[in-house]
Amino acid sequence: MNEKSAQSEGETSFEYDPSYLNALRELYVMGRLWVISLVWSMGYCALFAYRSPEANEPVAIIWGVPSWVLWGIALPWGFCSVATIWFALFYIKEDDADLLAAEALLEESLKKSESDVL
Amino acid sequence: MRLSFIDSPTSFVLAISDANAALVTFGLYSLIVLGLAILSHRLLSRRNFLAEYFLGSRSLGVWPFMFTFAATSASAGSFAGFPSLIYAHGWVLALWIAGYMMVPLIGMGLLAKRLNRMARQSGAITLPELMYSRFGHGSVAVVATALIVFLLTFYLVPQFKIASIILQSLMADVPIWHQSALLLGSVTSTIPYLDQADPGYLLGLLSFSIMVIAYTSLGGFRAVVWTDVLQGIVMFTGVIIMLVLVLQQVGGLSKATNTLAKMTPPVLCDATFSRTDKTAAGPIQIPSESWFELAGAEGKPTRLFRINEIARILEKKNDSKSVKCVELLSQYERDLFQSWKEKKKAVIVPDHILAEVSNEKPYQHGAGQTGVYVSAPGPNFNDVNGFLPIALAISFFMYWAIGGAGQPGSMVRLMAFDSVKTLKRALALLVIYFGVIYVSLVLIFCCSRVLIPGLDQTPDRIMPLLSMHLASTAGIPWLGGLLMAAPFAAAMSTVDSFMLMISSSLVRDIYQRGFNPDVSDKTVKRLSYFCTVAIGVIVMFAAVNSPKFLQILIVFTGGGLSSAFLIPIFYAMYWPRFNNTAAIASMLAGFFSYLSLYAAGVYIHQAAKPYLLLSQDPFLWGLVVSAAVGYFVCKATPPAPLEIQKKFFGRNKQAAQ
Repeated sequence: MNEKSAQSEGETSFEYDPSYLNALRELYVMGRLWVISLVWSMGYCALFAYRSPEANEPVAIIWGVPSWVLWGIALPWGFCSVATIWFALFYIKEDDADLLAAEALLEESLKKSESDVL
Repeated sequence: MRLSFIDSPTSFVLAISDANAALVTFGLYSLIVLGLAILSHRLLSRRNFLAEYFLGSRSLGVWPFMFTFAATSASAGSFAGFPSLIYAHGWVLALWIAGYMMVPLIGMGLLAKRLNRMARQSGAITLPELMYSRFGHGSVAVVATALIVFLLTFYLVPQFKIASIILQSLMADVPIWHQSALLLGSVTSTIPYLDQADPGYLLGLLSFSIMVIAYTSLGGFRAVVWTDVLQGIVMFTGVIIMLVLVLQQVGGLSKATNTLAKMTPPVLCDATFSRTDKTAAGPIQIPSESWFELAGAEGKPTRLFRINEIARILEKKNDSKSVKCVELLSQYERDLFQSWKEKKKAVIVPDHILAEVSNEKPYQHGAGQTGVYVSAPGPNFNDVNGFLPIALAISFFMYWAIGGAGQPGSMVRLMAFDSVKTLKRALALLVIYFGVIYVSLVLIFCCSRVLIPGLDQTPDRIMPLLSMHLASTAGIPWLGGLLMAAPFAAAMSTVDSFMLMISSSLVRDIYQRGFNPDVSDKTVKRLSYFCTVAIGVIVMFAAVNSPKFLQILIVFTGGGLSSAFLIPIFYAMYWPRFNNTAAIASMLAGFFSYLSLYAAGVYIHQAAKPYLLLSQDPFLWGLVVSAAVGYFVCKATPPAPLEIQKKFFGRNKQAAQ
């Protein structure tokens, strides 16, 4: 499908709004991060967090935390936090200038009409 | 009539001074909340009523937006149910809550930008109104409104009940509260329906309801947001203070986890008490959390028990009713008891009272094993497979992030921020806020078993008991009130948001659009106030004798809302072709497939629990069915009208120039 317009799908005939296209790009990044966190966290914990009732060896504890919590949850949590902050501050596009301008215009005209009435 | 109490200097029952300090803290908190509502009410008179009352004029900045989103997401369950689960099952709860690492990104990021833009483009104030604008048809809004009103009303009842129980335990030992409860009990004892409820609980319910109804109906959305900010700060501060105190008192995290690794699950049982001196006739009360010992079998050590309820031997009776009790088996618990006994810190059942234990039941998973509290799947009393098998862990990982994104209460907040710049900063802050709160809760309550062992029959009480224990050991009694205000604040911030959602659906989506589009501002105003108050009062009465299965009601309604709304809203935001018919089909298919798995569970298990198809939560199946039905129905029907697609997805030529 053409990224910039919907014509090739035969459904519509207009050019897509850049904010919509930005949102789609951001959606793909979110999806990838979610899959990474799911595979890392659940994969590691499935392999190392579960202990059979017959197991006699003690659970390894690092810095006061069971090792599977540290590598399978705390570390991906830290990674996701850094990635989300990067995504929020540097990846999301501020593309609502058109709306902000329209809202400011509307507010101004409302104020003007109010003062005219008075 | 005087009761003979068994005394102890450190009984977990609040001392009078501690209780008064808690009352002062709570009183101050209530005054601030009402003050914020009055301020917000003044603002209402200066702005467009509907947009201000239900959406805060779409002008939320970074901090209010972040706090209101976070506080609405964190219900009473986060501060009452979650701690009790950590206490009962240990470190495996870190795996259970792991999905929260993605909650800020998915819960807020997935829909925020598109939802906010579309709401601003269409001028929509409510979610059904936005759907009406997006699909150009009223039927989708009617279905959405019906689901919101139906499910949210059910959701509110347990929230009212939990908040009332918290308030009741906070105030239980305050003399004025006790007297007021007795007075209320004397009035309600003659009124059918009300006479079945405990007067202390009724007083808690009444106080909570008056406060939440007053500030929500008076101040509307902005009051809710301001109180959410206050509540968010209370929750954050409370958790940080608790973490510092708990780590200090337990001797560090390493010590706590190493101790926990050596502990084994207790045996759950019942205990009855009787007098040894049959000539004595006065009433006796044995406090909850009292300890007692029984001789072991030949060659075995003495058995150690702790009761989890108050036991009462009534006047002229020889025996108490049976109360919940646990037998503690770990060496650490024995050593702790001996140490408390020597320091006279333990409440011990005296020799002139005879204890008898019955109905002893070991854990189905983890009985007699060390290490179960620091590994998965965690100990479980009811299930041989343990608390969290891996399939269920994956299900929860998806549930937290995706389920949160599908809550209409959160979606409304996404319609209210003022610009993308605000969204970006709020998202970054939310990562830190949720990270600190949930990681801290896991650490705090993993340590709580080491500090207060033997609460396994009533783990729901760990939050208030730990709060008071920490505050009293640290010598700061007022802190107990602040710490316990956190779960109360969490319940309040969820309730107020949902009350407004129902009210807005009734006034804006049903009355104004369905019956009277030309209704005057004055009538809308009166109706909005009336509906908010009426919903609060109806839910309050429903909570007087609410059903027993509160937690399942909360989970059921939360999952039902996500199953019904997430996919249709997601498609509506990102798929121009998505049309009215597909939206309705997707919504209904999601909800009814979810409902069917609950009905199948009730039929198969003969108990109020869902059927876990392939060990996955019904909510996930609801989403899958909703997505598939939405997709195929959309492909099989004509696309959404071109003018609607252009409006919400097309380039604004004027802006481009």
